[in-house]
Amino acid sequence: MLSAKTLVACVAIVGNVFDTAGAAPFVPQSPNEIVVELTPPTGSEWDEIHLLRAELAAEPSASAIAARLAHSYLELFRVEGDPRLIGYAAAALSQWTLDGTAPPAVALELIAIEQLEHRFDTAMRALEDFLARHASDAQAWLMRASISLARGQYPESTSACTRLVFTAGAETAGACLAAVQAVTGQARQAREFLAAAFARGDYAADAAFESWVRTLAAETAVALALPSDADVEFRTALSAARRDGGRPTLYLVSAYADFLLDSGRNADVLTFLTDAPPSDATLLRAATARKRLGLVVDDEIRTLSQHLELTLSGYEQTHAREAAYFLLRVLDAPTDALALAARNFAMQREPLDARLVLEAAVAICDGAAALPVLDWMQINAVEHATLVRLRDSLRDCR
Amino acid sequence: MKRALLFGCLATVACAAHAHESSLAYLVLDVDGPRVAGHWDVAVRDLEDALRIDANGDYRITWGEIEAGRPRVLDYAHERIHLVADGRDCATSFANDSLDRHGSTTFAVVRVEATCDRPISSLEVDYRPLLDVDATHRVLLEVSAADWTTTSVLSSRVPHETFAMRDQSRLQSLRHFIVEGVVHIWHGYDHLAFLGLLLLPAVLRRSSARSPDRPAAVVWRIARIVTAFTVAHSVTLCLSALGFIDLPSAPVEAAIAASIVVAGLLSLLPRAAALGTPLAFGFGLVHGLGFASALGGLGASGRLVSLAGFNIGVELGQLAVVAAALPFLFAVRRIDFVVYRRRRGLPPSTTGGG
Repeated sequence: MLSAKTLVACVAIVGNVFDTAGAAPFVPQSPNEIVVELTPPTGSEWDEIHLLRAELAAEPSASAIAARLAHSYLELFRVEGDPRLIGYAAAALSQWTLDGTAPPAVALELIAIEQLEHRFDTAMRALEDFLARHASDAQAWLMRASISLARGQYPESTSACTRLVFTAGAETAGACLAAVQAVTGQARQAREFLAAAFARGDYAADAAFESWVRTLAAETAVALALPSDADVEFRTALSAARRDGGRPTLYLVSAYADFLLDSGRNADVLTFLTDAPPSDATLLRAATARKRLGLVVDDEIRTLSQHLELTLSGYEQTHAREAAYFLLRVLDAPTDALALAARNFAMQREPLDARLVLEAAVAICDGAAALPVLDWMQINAVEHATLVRLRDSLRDCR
Repeated sequence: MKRALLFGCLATVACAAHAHESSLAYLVLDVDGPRVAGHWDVAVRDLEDALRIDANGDYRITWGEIEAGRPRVLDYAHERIHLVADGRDCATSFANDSLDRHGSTTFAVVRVEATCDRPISSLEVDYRPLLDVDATHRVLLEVSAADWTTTSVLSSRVPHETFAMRDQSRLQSLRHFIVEGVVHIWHGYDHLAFLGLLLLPAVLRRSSARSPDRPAAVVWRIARIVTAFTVAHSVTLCLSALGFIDLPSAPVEAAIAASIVVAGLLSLLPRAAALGTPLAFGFGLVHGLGFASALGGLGASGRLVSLAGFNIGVELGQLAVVAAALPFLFAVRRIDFVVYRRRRGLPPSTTGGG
């Protein structure tokens, strides 16, 4: 729950949901008045979705089609960030459950939905179950590695990456291990490994995968405080994603926007994001940049408050990272941000999650609340430059 | 297409605020005795997902398209939102005439009104819209009663929840039903007119040709008629409310209508005027059946408190009306109607009857 002060600030701009609900219902002037403009579901991704949807309608129990349809929705979600796409995917798979009876392709998509909805425990249990029966499924091992990594369970992540050597090949396994190294005190080794791999021309075959590995290289450069290298890697990642008519993932877009914000390139953030699909993640970065440029952000606050409402009012944790980011950087409410960021950090532990805790803690000089992050940094020898700098500024706040 | 849209965005500053939002609806319910009133705000985009209201498929939903899709929207709400009070479905109606905005999202406002069998002590909200098209759809639910409010979130994982109303004391329940009874009687002017019809002969009746009867005698007569009527309809109300009599409402309503005609005709017959009390009792039996349907089937396990309260309310309302009408009745008493003057023709056995 939010503190009274933030609530007051929030309500002043947004109005209480239930008060605004029903407080200002309106009737449009004319039947021709456009009340909602939808983004047309067009483009190659949607063409495929429409096709699969028609196929599934003709044969509703065809698990392979349902799995492909769900997969297409989730792929599109990773690019556009429209949370309804996860819901559409789940709806397409509604006749199957994660009780071990679903066909493998369906089960993997169901697990991906659990992961995207941040139900990590369910996802991990289901993966364990799945891998007990399909030990050579590379996709499942990769998901296991990435969930473990996101939760800060590095030994588990490392062992899952190792399994990829046999199932997906050395290139994939190497990138997977580099991702773990990058956050556990071995960023330099990770960087060297990636540089050598790029020099050999590894990863170039698959644009989407190359983009992912280049993003990792950029983040590793950020961790090592090499901003110009990071910029190059981010750009390479973006152009790799756009090769073959693809689009960058929202993860990459957000990471690059955060990088630009850290570099003080606020105007560049806005330019960069005008091309990005509208999503909460991009809106958060744009609002931060606008705020830092001294521009009005009332519209953004109104929209984000509504989108993050369930998290801000304590009903769910799924978007705790975004909500903490919003409170800290857009609403200037570090106390509430700290509480939410700390709860989020208990759930997921990527560098940004740790950073939100530290930044909020520094803002109100509350070292105690940041202890879980400080412990995590020490245990895992985290050397991320930004995190180290924030930790140092907290030194006098214990 | 996409690119054109993005360039369009560049032109407007607020464009950035149009991020995709997850599918979230709002359901606000206010409980008052046996009634629930409130609204379901559902995103227009969700209606499109569920019901394809963008009739011409241009991805621009107009108010006209929402109006055209309204019957389907209301049917959809009817099929998928259920309010259950103490284990029994409440008769719920939905209506839409406006839109609203939360954040930068436009919602259709669907008014919800439900009437349950009796004052609600626990309300179950069962919510299934959209879950089959977007399994992540959620509703932010606010339930409130007189002095408290609670909120909750329903989703495909938890599509229903039961809310216990704060303990309604028996006294409150009794008071509520007394009010219901009074309101019912005041709204039922047909019933009051009928009562007037029964009382009129009692007032106009004259024992002697020269002057009206003494006020005390008239009041006594009125009291007997009202009491007989009351006792009779209490009997049938109780019997049917407790499930001992179960008649379909159509014949009951017809019988009530017939009783009004009969009473009207009888009021022209002075002989019948002398039969005021037994007639009132007979009519009361019929009218009590009508009250029972107003109170709603309480079932054999129905609460005596509510029954007693409703009855007391009906009587209080009735007495208040009669008391208010007394001056008028006394004034009318002075008019010498021909039909009521001839007393001598009546057989002796009925002259003393009231």
